[in-house]
Amino acid sequence: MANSSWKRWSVAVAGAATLALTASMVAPAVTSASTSNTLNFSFSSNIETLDPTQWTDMTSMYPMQEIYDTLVEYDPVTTKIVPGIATWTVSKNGTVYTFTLKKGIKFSNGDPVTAQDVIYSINRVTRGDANSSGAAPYGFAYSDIQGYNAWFNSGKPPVAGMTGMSGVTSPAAGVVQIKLVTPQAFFLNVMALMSAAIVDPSVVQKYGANYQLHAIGSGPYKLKSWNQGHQMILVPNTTSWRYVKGEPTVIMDENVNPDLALLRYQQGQYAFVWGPLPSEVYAKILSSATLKSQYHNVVENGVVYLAFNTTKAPFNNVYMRQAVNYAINKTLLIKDITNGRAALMTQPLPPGIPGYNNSIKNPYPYNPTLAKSLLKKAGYKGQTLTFIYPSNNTDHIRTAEIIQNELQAVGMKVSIVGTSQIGNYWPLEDNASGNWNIAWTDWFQDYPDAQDFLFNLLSKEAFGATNVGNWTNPTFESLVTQADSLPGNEQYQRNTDYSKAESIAVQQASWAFLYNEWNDALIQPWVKPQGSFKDLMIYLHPVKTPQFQYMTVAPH
Amino acid sequence: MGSYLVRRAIWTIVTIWAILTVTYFIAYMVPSDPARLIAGQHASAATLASIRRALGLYHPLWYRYLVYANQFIHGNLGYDFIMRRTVSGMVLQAAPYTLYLAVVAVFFELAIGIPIGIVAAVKRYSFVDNLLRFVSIVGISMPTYWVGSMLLMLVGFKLGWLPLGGVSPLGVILPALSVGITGSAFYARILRSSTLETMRMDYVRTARAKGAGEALVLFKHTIRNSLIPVVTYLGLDLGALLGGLIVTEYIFNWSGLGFLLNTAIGQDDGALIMGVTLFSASGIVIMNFVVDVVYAFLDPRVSYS
Repeated sequence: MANSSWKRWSVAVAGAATLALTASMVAPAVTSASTSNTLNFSFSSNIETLDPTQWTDMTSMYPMQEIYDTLVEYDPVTTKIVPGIATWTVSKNGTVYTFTLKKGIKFSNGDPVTAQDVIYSINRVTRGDANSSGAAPYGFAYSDIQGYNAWFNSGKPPVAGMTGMSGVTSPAAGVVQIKLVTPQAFFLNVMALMSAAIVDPSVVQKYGANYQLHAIGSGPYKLKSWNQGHQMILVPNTTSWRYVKGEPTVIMDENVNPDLALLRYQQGQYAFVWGPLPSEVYAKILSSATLKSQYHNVVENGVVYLAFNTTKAPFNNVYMRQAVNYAINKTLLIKDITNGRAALMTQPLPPGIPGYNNSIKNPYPYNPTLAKSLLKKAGYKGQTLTFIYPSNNTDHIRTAEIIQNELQAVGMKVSIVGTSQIGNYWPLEDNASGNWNIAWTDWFQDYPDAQDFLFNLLSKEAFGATNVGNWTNPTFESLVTQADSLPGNEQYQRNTDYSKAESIAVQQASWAFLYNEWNDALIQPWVKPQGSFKDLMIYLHPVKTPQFQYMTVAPH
Repeated sequence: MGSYLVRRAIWTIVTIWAILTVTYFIAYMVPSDPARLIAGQHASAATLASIRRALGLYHPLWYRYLVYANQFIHGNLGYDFIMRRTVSGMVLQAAPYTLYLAVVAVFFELAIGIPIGIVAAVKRYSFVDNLLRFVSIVGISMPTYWVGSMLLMLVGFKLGWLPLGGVSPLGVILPALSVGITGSAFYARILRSSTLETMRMDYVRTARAKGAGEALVLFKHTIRNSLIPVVTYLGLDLGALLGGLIVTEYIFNWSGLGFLLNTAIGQDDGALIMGVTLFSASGIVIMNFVVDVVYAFLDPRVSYS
């Protein structure tokens, strides 16, 4: 009896100990907004990094934009480039940029920001093995700087006080000069990217691979804590030149599913629900007068389109490509897939990009009869066309099914094939057989310049990479190459050349032009812009992520 | 008993190795480009090539498998280049949350299921028994994610009595309760059957014949022995919960292994999917081993020959 009692007690004690031990290991992963001057919101994915050499995504840009500075940046309410921590001059031929650092700029740890820190930061993001996972994703954006290739391939580590690329020098204290191989009118846009954020070399070298957990910049916020995958807290950096009195603390929860985020918003815990909002969340907004009054949107600088494999029949034929354009009811597609939250795409550039051709209204209105006659003209023989799309998203699946039906209605035989995510999605790059004819794809700007779209998506140099379908046209190519190489003070000519190039791309049906999505958000009425910034751009800027230092939290 | 433990331990190791092999090759059969996932849409071909070299993607698959297996033996689940953290670190950070949630969920399952099972057995074939069995069937049939969503909406949002998801001292109640409500039905049914069977045993009849009151017969002679199948199921249940709270953790934003796995699936993160799967599956296998040992420890009638 004593033996069985002992057994029973030992099991009971073991169970209680397990519960107590695991409960003690489970510290609360998140902090709730407990102070009044706090903005709490969430993302449905991770903040991937705070290291400029590893940056690729919009989510990470939210905290990075607030922690770091760049030499130049975008105006808070327009897309005009304005001084960041430096003013600049450009040589007449557009190849030499001279940046003069503003006086008194400091990192949040008190270290002054120097020209050597800028040289270090730019060389760090352009080295061939910027981090343990290989070259920085955006290092290539600086490849027109003199000395880039030698530096990229050198394998040398960036160190404080280094030399690095021959085209990046400091001719005087507080001055950084960057020499390009060719003029690049969008170079200032490239220098406003998060990859060009200025880091403190001593902090990077101190923390090495763990740098991002201790990231330091000269921006209006500093990192208070980061429980990776769960929550990041930013607090005001009162020593920053961009600090605004009264700026709120920012708490960002990661990996919160959209339905839960909406519930927390409705309960008043979250100040925002950032978009693009999923369809199911938007449907709930439409059914609530309160939520509708708090909903805001802008057209994004992005494009959603179908690429054609022009390396083989039948889409090497312009009539075939035009037939697809006429066969798709894009207005209905926008209503069905985006709940009306998109603008009809009329050309390769989104409306917010300089060079957008305002004279092109609706080049391919829905016209199945015309589509059929163009199919005949193209000599379509009835072969099965393979339409590939990323299958990780129900909207993409529905899009593929809708378009398949519409193309089949005009006489095309279409087989839709879901592929794995973006990782294997560049068909000509990763699939040597090119066993596809139509591919759903999209692109969001790196910077608001036509080069980012027309060169990256439709030039010969981008064949087999971001020019997914290898479409090309000699006149288009010549116009875009010419416009890309003009210096920034020739913007009028650039815009003229880009507009002409756009007309060609549209007439030649380089893509099936679908839509330009909106960016949208729910914003609590107790979040107010500070001072003179009574503008939606503070929340939904076409390039910048929300600018929290210009917001205040009213009593609620 | 010694030889039994050794045999079970060897099979446990073999099973874990088989799980590692199957999950590794399945994970890498899914078409995916880790370099593109890390570098994003806009990266150049040279950048991608550099990343692929750094990741060792140019080595043959069998070589990469052996490297991974060797790392696993040393407790290393690899490095996740998308999350930029070690997989082991992320898994070990998440595991206690899942264990805690699973333990609290099992508490609710037992707290609800055991009384229902006992009452149903005592009131066997009566209206109460039929009603409780109907409730059990409904409980088994309800999807956990539906129960969870309803509790979140009603208790968390409409009434505001408990937090809207997230990890906090009160935040464990709703997710655990959603699992507890649906899982308790299994315990109720098992315990009802087991209790009815035990009640028919000779020693129970003997106890009654000796004049023992019904309460004494129930609590001293019947229930204790009726709990044996419950213990068996408990171990399996706990093991399954450790690997199967994906949807619950997603709904309630509970930072456990299921939450981590959901994140990994959403970003096509092969390394993390593998790490969580391997860890959870190994946990289930080890838990089964522990159950076998504890079971025999509790019931000396089990033979190890």
